[in-house]
Amino acid sequence: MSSTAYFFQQFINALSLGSIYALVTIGLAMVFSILRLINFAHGDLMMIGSYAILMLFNAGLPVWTAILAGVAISGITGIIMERLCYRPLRGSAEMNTLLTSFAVVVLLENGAVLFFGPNTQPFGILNFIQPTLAVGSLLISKIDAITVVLTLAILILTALFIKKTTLGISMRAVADDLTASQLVGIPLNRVIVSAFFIGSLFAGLAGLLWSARAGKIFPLMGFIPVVKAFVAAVIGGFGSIPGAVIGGYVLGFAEVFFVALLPPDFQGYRDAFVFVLLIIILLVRPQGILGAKAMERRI
Amino acid sequence: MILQVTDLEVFYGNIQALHGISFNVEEGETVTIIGSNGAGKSTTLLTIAGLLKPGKGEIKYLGTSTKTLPADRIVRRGISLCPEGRRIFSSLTVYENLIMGAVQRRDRKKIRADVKWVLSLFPDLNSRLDQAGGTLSGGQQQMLAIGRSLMSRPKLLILDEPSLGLAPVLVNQIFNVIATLKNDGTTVLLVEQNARRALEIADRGYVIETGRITMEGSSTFLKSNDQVKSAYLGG
Repeated sequence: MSSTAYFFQQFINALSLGSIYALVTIGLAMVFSILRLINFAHGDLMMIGSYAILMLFNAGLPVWTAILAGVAISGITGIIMERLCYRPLRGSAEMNTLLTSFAVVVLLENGAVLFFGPNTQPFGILNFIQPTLAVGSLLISKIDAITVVLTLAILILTALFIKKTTLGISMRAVADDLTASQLVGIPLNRVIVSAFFIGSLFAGLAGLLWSARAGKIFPLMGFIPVVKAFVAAVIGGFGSIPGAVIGGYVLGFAEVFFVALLPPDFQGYRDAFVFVLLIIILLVRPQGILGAKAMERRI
Repeated sequence: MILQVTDLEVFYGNIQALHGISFNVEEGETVTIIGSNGAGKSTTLLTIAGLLKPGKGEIKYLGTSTKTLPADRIVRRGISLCPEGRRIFSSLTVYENLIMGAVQRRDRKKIRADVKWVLSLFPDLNSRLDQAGGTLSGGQQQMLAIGRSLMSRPKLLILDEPSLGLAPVLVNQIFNVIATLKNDGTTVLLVEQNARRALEIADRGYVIETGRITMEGSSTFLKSNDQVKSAYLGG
């Protein structure tokens, strides 16, 4: 394979991985910008979505129906999570809600071990899609292509939603000033629930794409992506939604090209590389790429 | 009576901020509450707006209690508080700030007309509709904050320190707008440290000290009262 073709394939691969990170990170960022809550249980929504899709598919639902229903289940789980775990703590210290999110992680992951068993299960429901797409002499993974196109469409819709709709503007207003947004009459619960719902839908979708990439699912599968999404959020500037997207793609590219460009011996250090990147960013530019204003605002 | 507050007590944790405050506002009136820093003025207003919940007492708006309603429902009923320190949405544009003021309304056509109306009250904002609120000067931010409060078309407009930290020319401008609103029949509850200006524009006033109403009466009476003079009007 020529080096150009190799580079191009890695480029698509990075775009695809970055897309998934972006989808996960948006949910994290939306909730954080409104509630100052880093919801580490966000990754478990990917897990719940993936298991739901697989179970519904195994129960005999057509694959697309199973996917839609599974993603919806992820979204609804997000709403339930907010209602049961975070709303009762509304207004308490950020440390309390952060610790609560860890508790939710433990609860959901152990619940999943209990219900689905601790073992890894094959996740091949998208295998009917032809593995590769030939573009001239290039072979592109079709799942990667779908991931990229779908994510771009979602990102554009999200941007329009946040920019143009009353609910989207309300979200930005609440992120700007919680007190003032209540005083002008923004229905706070509706905005918070919407943020959880949208973020959780995206997490469910990201879970599907992530699981299809990995070809397997397991109860603790949400841990790595949510920590990566956390890194992506830090890269982009925590709480900023454009920052979440940029951070997701930066991380996807950094990770893929770290593996692609270094000798094979280093490939096992992929995750270590990501967390070294996190440490460096926290040292050099803790506000992230787009976070400068946000940090000022918060102090 | 548009607003009737009875024996209102509010606590911050164990600290009692309001010790049984009673006052009322009649429809069409402009009423001011004057008092020094920490007397409980903002606490009173935030409680009326539903952001603080009273320990005891009653708040009746147009005859029905609002003390258990969430803030957004209180706005929908027709009370709008323009908070101290402006608190505009700094990353939203001026236009978006105004639209957020009307977030409880569904009459899109009327909303657009009201944006025009607010811009006629504050022409300075006209050329800045697409500018982020945070880039405005202090005076413009105050205008935007009042404009945003008006966008809900409140029956009762509450202003908390609208002239704080503004240059005299801007203070004049803000008070002119309040006078316009008053003449248009809007009911205004005004909290001000600038007691002189507040008593000039208000029909009646209350003096609040350490969480208690210590004096009340017509503006003319309060302006000529020796205690008020020495404490709030600079002798």
